[in-house]
Amino acid sequence: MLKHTVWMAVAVSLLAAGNAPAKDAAAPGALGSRWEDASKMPNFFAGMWMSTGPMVDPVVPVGYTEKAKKYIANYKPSRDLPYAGIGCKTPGMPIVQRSGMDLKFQFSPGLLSIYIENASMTRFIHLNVKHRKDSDPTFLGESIGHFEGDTLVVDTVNFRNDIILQYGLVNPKLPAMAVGGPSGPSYANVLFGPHGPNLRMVERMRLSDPDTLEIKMTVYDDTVFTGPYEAPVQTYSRLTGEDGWPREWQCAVSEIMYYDPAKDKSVSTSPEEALKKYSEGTLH
Amino acid sequence: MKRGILREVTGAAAAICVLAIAAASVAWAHHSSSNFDMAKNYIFKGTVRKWIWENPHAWLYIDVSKADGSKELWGIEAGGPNTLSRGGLHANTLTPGDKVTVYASPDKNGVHNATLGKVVLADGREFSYLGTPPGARRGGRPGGPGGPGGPLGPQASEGRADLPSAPAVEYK
Repeated sequence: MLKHTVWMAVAVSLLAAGNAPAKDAAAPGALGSRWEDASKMPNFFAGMWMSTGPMVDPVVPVGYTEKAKKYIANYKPSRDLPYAGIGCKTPGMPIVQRSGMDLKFQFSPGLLSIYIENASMTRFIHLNVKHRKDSDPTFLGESIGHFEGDTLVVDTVNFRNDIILQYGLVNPKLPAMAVGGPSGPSYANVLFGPHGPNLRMVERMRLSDPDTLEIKMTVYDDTVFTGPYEAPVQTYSRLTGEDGWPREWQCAVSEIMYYDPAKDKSVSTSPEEALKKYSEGTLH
Repeated sequence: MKRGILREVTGAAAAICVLAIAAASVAWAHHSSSNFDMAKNYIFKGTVRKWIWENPHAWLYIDVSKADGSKELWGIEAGGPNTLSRGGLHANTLTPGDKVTVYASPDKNGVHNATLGKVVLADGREFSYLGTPPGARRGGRPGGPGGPGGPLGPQASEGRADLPSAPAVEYK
């Protein structure tokens, strides 16, 4: 059994190292490089993590660049999330990780993975290596990480142009989301915008107590902010027992009610039409 | 248009308060609730025609019996299946023919869709938009993070902050 485990560890280590240039191979001894490190790391792994904080930030970042100021001056508020359309297109980092659904951390030598249930997406955080010289932009970006004591530091770069970046709030004196008013929640006070090529997110993940995960994120974008933007700490509660079992997630009936960003309006499908399409298998 | 939306934001903010920020994450699944009239809280009495157990939202379709004897088909939007399941409401909890009472806020545009406040089953069990007993937060089963005895116990009574606050009236 032990022999089998050792061979498996060697095989997985070789696979993990194969994902990066040889000079970036996991440093021997760095936490997270070997199977036996699993018991030395903070327990991110038992159960799942349920977001208990806001999906969007309630504060306004540091100063804006001239380019961002021009964008903000012409900004048209969006009634709903720009990605709440047919097909449930992911918002990408960081919003997808904050959206209230659950995260599952998994480990293999040199790689820490985070399954994001509400989008059926998995972040891959390569441990103790450098970023690749050539990588392609993605919704979740390319992540590398290392431990500083009990804190996992994750550095993420190379995002697609269509992920959702929050600049701040349209009116900083109002809450991020209007909840409980006559219209229900609205994103009309959240200022979303495009990011630049050097967008970088640095997260510091740690357990503030055995069942609470904290993620402190700093966002760098020299085309938007004049300095680092320190987002409020995001907190997650551990789900245990069967609640902590990961579930599959597949977007199937988003057409019944969705947001059309081009018209800035919500679209509803009548019950009769929805049931007809559902029975025909043509409801998206 | 921009001015209109901002005016709406201002108006909503006046009615808000502190629940706003804390609730932002738990209310989201696919789209916001801005297309529902949360100032209305209808009571629908009807029979289950279909319980669609799909992402991003489960939908409960019911034939509603009106006071004049006629019937209307309504679609009631609930949270996503995984959230509902963790709350205690499952794919097999509702079946065609079940008698239910639904509290929900209607679509602003007149389409017969609504967002779920709670559904009451014939056996008396009640489930919220999150699948939990009404008033509990997500994960709010006893001992769960939002439930009695759970680590977020003191917050359990907050419930889903955008639940209809208006008095419930029977839909006629």
